[in-house]
Amino acid sequence: MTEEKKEMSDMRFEMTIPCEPKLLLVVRLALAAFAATMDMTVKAIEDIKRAVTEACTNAIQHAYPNTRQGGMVHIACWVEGSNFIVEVSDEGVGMSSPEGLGIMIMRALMDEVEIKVDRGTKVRMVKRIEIRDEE
Amino acid sequence: MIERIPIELRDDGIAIVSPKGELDLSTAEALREGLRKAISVASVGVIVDLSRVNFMDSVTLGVLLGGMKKAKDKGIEFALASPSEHDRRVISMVRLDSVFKLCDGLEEAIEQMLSSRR
Repeated sequence: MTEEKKEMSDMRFEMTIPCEPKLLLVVRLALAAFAATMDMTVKAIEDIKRAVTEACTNAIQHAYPNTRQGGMVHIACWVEGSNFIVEVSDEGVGMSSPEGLGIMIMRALMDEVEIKVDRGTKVRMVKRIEIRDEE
Repeated sequence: MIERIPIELRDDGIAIVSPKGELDLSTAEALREGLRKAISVASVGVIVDLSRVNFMDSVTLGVLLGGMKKAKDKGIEFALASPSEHDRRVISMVRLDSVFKLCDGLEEAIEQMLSSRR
């Protein structure tokens, strides 16, 4: 790993958004840009964008059923070794049953998906880093 | 983000719905409304032209499934044309490629829809 990539891999990127569907695009753009700095392939970046969208959508739709305006969704991503890790968490009502098309897509696109319910929901996803071929 | 999706009703009774950009929870209602209108005016079928769409999530797939069901209830065809490579892969991963009628291009979708009616 180059020195520059080592420095990037020590970085943690975080953002917190209100439960506003129009901000999903912003989350995707930010995560895609961060993943691109790690030289990940286009395919891997597209997978991460889709999986994170599913996790955030789940939180926006279900985490705060009574007080949507007050609810926040937190997204964090960083690199550990050859793994790109992203966590989507909220402090709302816990995910009752992790089923559905969105969860299926997350599990199909990411290498690991872990869902924890404890004073909210935390979805932890891992994508093995495939480096783009040098041109 | 889209407010209203373009719909074209052809003389042959096929309605083309042409969303653009990234489709997710924020665009679901507009897409649902667009499909509803297209289904109401079409006499042969509805084709959703995805050639200008570069992202679709599960909410969007759910809206498309709902549109397909409404079209079927009306007795007309429903097809998706030109999904992106990434979206096609996701559709296949969740086994919706055996549920949706997928076409590589709009012309192919129109041709197949008309020939199935002959």
